[in-house]
Amino acid sequence: MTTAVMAMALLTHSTAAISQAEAKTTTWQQTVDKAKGQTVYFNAWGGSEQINDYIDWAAEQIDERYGITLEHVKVSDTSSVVSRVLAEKMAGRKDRGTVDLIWINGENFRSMKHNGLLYGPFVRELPSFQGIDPQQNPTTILDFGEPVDGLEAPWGMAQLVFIYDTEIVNKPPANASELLEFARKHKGRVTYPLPPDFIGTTFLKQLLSELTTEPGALLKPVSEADFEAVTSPLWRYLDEIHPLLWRGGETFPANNLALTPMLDDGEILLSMTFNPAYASSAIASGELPKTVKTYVHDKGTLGNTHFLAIPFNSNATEGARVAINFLLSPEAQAHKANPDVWGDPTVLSMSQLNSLERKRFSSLPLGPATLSPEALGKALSEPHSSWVAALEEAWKTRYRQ
Amino acid sequence: MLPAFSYMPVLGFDTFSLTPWQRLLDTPGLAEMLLLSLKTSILSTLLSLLLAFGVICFSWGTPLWYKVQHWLSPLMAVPHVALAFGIAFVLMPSGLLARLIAAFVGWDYPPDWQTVQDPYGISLILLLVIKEAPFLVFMMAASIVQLPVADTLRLGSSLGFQSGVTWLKLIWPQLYPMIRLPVYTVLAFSISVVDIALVIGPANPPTFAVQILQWIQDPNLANSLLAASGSVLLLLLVVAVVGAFYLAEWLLNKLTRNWLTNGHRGRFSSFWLSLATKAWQALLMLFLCGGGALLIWSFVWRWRFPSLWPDWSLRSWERAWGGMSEPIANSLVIGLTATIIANIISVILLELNDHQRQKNESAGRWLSLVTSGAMYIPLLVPQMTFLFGVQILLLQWGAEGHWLTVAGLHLLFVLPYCFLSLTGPWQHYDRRHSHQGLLLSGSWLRTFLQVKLGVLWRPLMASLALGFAVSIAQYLPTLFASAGRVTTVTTEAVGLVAGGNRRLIGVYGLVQMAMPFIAYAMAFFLSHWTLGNGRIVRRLNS
Repeated sequence: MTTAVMAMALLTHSTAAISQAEAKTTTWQQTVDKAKGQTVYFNAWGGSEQINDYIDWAAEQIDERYGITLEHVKVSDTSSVVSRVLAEKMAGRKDRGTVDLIWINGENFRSMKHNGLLYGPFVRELPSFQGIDPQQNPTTILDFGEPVDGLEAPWGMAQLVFIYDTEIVNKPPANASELLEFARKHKGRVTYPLPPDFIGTTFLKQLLSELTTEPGALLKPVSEADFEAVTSPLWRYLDEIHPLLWRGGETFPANNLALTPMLDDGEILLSMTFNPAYASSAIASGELPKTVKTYVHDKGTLGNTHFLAIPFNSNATEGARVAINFLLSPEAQAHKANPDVWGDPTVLSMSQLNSLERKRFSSLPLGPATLSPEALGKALSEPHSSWVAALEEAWKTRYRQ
Repeated sequence: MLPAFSYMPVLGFDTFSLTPWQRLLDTPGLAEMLLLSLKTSILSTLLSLLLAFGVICFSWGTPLWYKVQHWLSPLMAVPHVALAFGIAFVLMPSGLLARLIAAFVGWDYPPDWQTVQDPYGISLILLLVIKEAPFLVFMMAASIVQLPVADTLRLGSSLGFQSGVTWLKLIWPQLYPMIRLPVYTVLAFSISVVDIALVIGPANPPTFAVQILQWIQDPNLANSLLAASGSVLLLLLVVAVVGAFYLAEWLLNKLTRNWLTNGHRGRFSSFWLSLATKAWQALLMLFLCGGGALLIWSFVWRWRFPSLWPDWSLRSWERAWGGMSEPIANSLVIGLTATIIANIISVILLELNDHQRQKNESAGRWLSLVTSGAMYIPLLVPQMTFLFGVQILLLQWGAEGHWLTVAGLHLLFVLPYCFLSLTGPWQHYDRRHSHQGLLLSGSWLRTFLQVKLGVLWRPLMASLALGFAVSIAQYLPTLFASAGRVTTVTTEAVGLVAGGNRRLIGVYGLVQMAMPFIAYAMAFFLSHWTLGNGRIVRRLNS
């Protein structure tokens, strides 16, 4: 009798679990059905051929499988998209927004979140979210110190790496103080992108993380810290290194990609990027010589995650969610991680995947200039996003001629 | 204008205040940015004016003049972003020039030159002069035909004036008032230009217009207020500079009155005039080299400094071609729509003016003054100030993101150029042609279509080509009106700047350059040849 009851209980329990899972898949199925025929305007930075080609590939797949048209709107600066959505809110447009999907993180995300410009939360409903392990990759739920709250879905990982040409430089500098020595030895041939360029500011944050005596303060909002005390080692360092830089530190290249042709020509000796596979793909596209390699500083470099979000007034939220779900799938993520395609590291944790899915990733080539995950080491956490504006303002005040 | 005074309800800024102005004044390097904008705009305008005048003085009435005229159209047609890239490829430390020198001197690495994006803005000024001097020559040429130049020159030389002095003392004082407005548009353009300042202008700090764009694009939305007050300040800056120019004109007029009438025949060295011609030729060379550099880079695979000879490849074209058909189609459709409408409106306005003038001379004169004055408004107001407001309007109407909206906004900038380029020919049209036609056909419309348009066919074709070129070059209006959904060759090209890939920049720059050239070639063809009896025949009046 008791066994029968227990068996019944077990049975009902498992049926309940099944029907719950069923309910989840049916609602997801409803989303997929509703998404069919929608056009999703995907506003994503369009400055890189490899990335554009990848998005084209994804658009074809999404069209084939789900009947959704994914239009890549190539933007030169994501913040201009943020201001457009803001302008739409200003004009009182609550639906039929011009943006359905946006590639975003950091300050832009914080700005959209705090101004109520985002749709959601939606991330946990996505079937592909299973592949993500926030324990292992905390940056997938904490975007520059800002809780994601399900308003944006992680898409790819980034870590600051430096690029050099092994034919010209024997031993690249391994930390901030060696970099200063390096700049002294090679006067005028080191530089960094002009803040507030993303990589330029990241470089400042990297130096700050290495130089400051109070690293703990960086993880909290800047308003809670003694800005002068925390940052003074950085300014001392910059005051010393700037006269040794390219153009005497009076002007800087516009962004990190502008460094690539300069590195190629030998005008500068070191370049930097947030995509560990960038150098390999630049070799493949003829922009850099085969002899370039990447390296990281000995105490690690800053890393973060980039995300996908949906604006509050999108008319194609179903289509956008289905597109995001595809972009997070092991298949799309593995294709993206391929250095011949884009080489963007995946947000998925191998422990969450089955063996077949894992194999997609383990069989990928590494690329001639890409560091192995071991050599890349553990990423340093990004300072809280409020540090960005404060650092940029302080930098401008000091170094704008 | 409201956001400039801290009023932007959506963001929770719903009280009026002067805080954005306070913050604007606290911006690091504000004075340097404003000075930089002033310096580049005033210097480039003055240099262009000097150059244009010098070229006209030296070459007017000589065979050289025809050569100058031949070069005007391509110079004015080339989109300035492509030109900026081309010239940067020539002048930069690893550019063509440095490679040539390196071949002799034996440099291994590019020199630490500040030849592009220099903090003084010299490269920006140079580029602006290349862009503006031909425009001023064009406007001067259009005005000068209304002056009795040949008679004046003959009179001058019979009185013993050197020809340069005659130009300066007798012709210039009549000519300048006629080109005053074009000069002001050049001033306004060079203060508010963004795209070429991004490519070739100083970066730290940038010019003020670039700073405003950066504020507009800043993720910290409170900076939109800063951008709003900044764009109002930019407008004030334009007004101030134009005012200062007017004042300087007036002062110069006063001061030189004595000199103008003192009867000195002068020892005005022709050296200066030939210098202007040399400078003109140097600019032409730079222009051609820039185009050449784009062509080379578009076929490059690997080309490290200091090698003179690249590894050639077609890969950039192959890769770019697939993604290019849509922007090219968009540019064509938008450009043609805007240009054709602009020319129809211009012709109607000019006809109305003519009509009014026949009825009542003074009222007609007044009307034509008002219309041509109104035409200058879109050219004088800084695009940034203007478009910030337009964007909000478009959003309220829900009209952004459609190609027709983009074409409509282009129309605003195309129309003035078409109207102004047609004004001269329309004024010089000999009405007796139409009288004859009217007598023969009895129909006003038939006379207009068959006689007047026939006579004015060539300027009309030229105006179509010019309008198309203007439309192709528009960057900010396209960006603001299209919500990023309508891509043109120009938005793609400027978007690629971010990527820094010289090969792709070469491809897009060339395509961007080629489109207006094709338009000019077609206009040239259409103005000389026509279909008659099913065969292509040479037009009668060409």
